[in-house]
Amino acid sequence: MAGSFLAGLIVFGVAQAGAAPLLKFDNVVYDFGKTQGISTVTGTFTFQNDGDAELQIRKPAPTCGCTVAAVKPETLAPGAKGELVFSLNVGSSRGVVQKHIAVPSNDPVNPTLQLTIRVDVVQMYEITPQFFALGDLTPGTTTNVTVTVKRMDGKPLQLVNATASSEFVHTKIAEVEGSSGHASTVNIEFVAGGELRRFNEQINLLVEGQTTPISAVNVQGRIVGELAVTPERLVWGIGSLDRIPAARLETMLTRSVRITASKPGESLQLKNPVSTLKDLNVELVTLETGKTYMVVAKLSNAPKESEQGIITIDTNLPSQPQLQVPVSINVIQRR
Amino acid sequence: MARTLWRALMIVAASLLVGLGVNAFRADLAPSGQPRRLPLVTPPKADLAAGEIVAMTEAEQLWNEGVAFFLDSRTSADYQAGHIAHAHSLPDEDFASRYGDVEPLLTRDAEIIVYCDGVECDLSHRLLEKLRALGYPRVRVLVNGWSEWRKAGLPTATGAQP
Repeated sequence: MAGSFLAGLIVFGVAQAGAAPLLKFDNVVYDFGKTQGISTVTGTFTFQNDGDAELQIRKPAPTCGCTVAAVKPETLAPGAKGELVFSLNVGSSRGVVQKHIAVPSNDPVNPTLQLTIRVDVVQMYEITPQFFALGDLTPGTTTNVTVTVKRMDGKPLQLVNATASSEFVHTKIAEVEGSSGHASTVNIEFVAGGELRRFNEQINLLVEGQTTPISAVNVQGRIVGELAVTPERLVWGIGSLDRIPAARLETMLTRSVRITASKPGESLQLKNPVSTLKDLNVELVTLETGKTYMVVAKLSNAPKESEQGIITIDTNLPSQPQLQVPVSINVIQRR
Repeated sequence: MARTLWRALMIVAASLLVGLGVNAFRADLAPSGQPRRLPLVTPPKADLAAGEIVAMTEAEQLWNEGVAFFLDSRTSADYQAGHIAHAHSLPDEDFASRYGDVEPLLTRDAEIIVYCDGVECDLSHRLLEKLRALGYPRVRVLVNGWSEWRKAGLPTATGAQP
């Protein structure tokens, strides 16, 4: 009797010493295969505790901010089952997207288990390019660009309309020869009319039988008139000056703005650069007489607080006798 | 009776010794009995060249000096929930419609650091390609930027403004 008791206790002791949870997923790869027309995929990994001690799962750690994952329950008795639900935002990706989720637990053999999500994203329509940066344009100029639109699922494209966001954009659709109706081009003509401004025009693409656009194309740039200022605004971060080498200090405290004459044959003259900010000294540097100038702005002291001001420069242009460059100085402070 | 009790105590002690002995020799357990912290599974490397990546220490230095533009390539909602202080939002998904917001602030030689969240997040990589195609050669990616920045305890901000 005493011997049986002794044996039983030893077995019990050994069993307790060796008891461990074991996290086992039914599958560690979730392959969606080819998907079309969706931006987010969701799925569930199932798992169970195949060990003989309580399993504790900690917060899953996706390797991409585009993935969200949660487990339920977080604690499982031996033999119990659970789920890890995830969603993956594939956005406008194309081709194979593969992301991972690390699942930490108290499983001593495999304390961090890696799951894989794979999806082959096939876009219904391929639009190239979707964005045009036309740069600086002078008033009255006309710019033409071309977009190609293809339907990727083998059905006819039937692109019927390309609606522009303003009167300065005109579009023309033409079927691509030899594409059997699967592809068209859209010619976009932008006329630099109206006021001097930065523009971002949108052209919506519509196919037969649908009221919502399949996609949009953007055409962006600015109409600059007789001169172009780059950058148009000075946004200036000023950090801690401690332990900054002298060479870099100069960089931190100096910014420049380039001003270029954009009208051919016109001689640009600039003078009287002035800043409304007390510690900001401005100097005009001629890079090419009558054509290109640089306004060098230099802080004599690093400001304690963020501040905003304006740099003004007089010009010889009747249409724009004075130009203004807004300045934002952001004092960067550690909390 | 006393002898039986003595034997029982000896058995319990022996069991404990056996248990502790087994645990001591199990390689998968730390001395505390907790699982050892094994390295995380190494995720696949992003398809970035060395010159396209900025190290955290350099990014922090550039941020401190205020000489680089930080661009957040995540969605507007993620940006508003939290972003690197003074970083501007330029979601890769909405690049076509949002590029015009940051373009007036940039010069072609501007030092630009783009980031998103997660070692496998490729939004910043895609944003880098777009910006380089537009003529900004000095763009680099701070890999896993948002998580790393927070992990380092560096300043963050919330809301739609930098």
